[in-house]
Amino acid sequence: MMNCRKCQKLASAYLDRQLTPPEHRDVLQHLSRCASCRAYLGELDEVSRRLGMLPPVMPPATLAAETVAAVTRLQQRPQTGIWTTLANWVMSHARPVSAVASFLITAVCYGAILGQMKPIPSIPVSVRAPMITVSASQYQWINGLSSSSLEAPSYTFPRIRKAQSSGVSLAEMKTTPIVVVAMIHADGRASLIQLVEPAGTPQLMELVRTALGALQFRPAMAGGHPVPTRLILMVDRMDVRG
Amino acid sequence: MLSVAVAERILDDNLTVADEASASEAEWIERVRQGDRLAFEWLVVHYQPSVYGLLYRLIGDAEEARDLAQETFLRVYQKIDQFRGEASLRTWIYRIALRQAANHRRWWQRRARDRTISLDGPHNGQQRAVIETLPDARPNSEQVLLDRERQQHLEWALRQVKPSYRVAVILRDVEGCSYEEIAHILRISVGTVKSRIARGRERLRQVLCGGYRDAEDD
Repeated sequence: MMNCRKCQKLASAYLDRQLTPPEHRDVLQHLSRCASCRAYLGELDEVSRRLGMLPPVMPPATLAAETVAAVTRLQQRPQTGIWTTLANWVMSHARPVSAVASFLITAVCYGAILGQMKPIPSIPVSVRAPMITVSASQYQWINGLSSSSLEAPSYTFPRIRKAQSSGVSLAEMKTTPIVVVAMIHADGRASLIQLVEPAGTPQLMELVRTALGALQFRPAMAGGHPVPTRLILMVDRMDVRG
Repeated sequence: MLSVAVAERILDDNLTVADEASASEAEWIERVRQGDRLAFEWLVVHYQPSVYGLLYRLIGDAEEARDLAQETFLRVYQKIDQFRGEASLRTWIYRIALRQAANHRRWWQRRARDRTISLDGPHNGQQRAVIETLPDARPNSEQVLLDRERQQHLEWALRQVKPSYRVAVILRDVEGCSYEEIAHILRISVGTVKSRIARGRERLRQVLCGGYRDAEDD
């Protein structure tokens, strides 16, 4: 059974004969007994009828001539090159072109950013640890004890060059400070001479030995030649200090 | 007038007026495709007034409707090769016109203004209402004035309808397009056309109903 709401919803299509035969029949039946819907339909019909009676809006008198002149100019224009044709095509498809361009720009930007990103390496503590900071007085003290090369006019102190992972974490020992006397050889290798503190800990000594083996130094230079030098290293947590 | 010029040129080309009348739309289209300027003039003279009227009623701005109508026919000229006759030429041209309007976004950008500017109000600082600028060659009588008043009210009411509904109602009730043609022009389904026309008319009825009853009471 059709109600007024349904009838009024179908009224517009009813006026245009756009209803299916069953719908049309139902609307007709409802209208035959509903004055309100008949009035509604009459108003809707009046709206449609009055719109149909609107006078045409006349274009400016010169518009047609201007349009033809514009097309004539278009015809007389010299043959456009591929870039002009491409530009015209882009302009005429502005919306999809801008969408594709936005996507590509975004993709390129993301790609560039992702390309620069590298996974964070899992660096063993021992590799992060060896930050060598050496005070001149300590060097003088050590070198004064061990070598007369300090007296050479062009003497340079050894510097750490490369710290490979030794797989040893000195920080694991929980013992601070660790004082080590090491030999920095002329070829840049480092080796353990003595574990000064804590004394009598063979396990730690072995760890320090391994850690030193992973360090590569630029050797001390005297008179333009690499010379072996002894260094005292203080290992404080993860720092290695001279 | 350009139509007179077209007729004169047809005669110059040793064609008779009868030839023009008998020439089918397909023949004119074929001639336009071949670059026949005369045929294009025929196209403009026949279809530009309705295209202009459609755009004007949608946009409510004479200058923009003028620009868009011209752009529409430039596009028609450029794309006539793509017309395959699946729909009528008028439907195809309307489709281009509405796409031009949408591409320029003028129609949509004016949606906010639609709510504040009416055809029977002063427009762009002018003292005369837009509707008053429309040509009217009828004699000045009481009935004409009454009709004109109703027309102004109807044009104003049309502006109160949501653009997507308005275009469907205009195409149906003013331009007389079928539901299938409207679906083709707007690239929507016939069911959506049915819905938009119904909603547009309902909105118009709400706006106008009181006015009509007053007029009938008079």
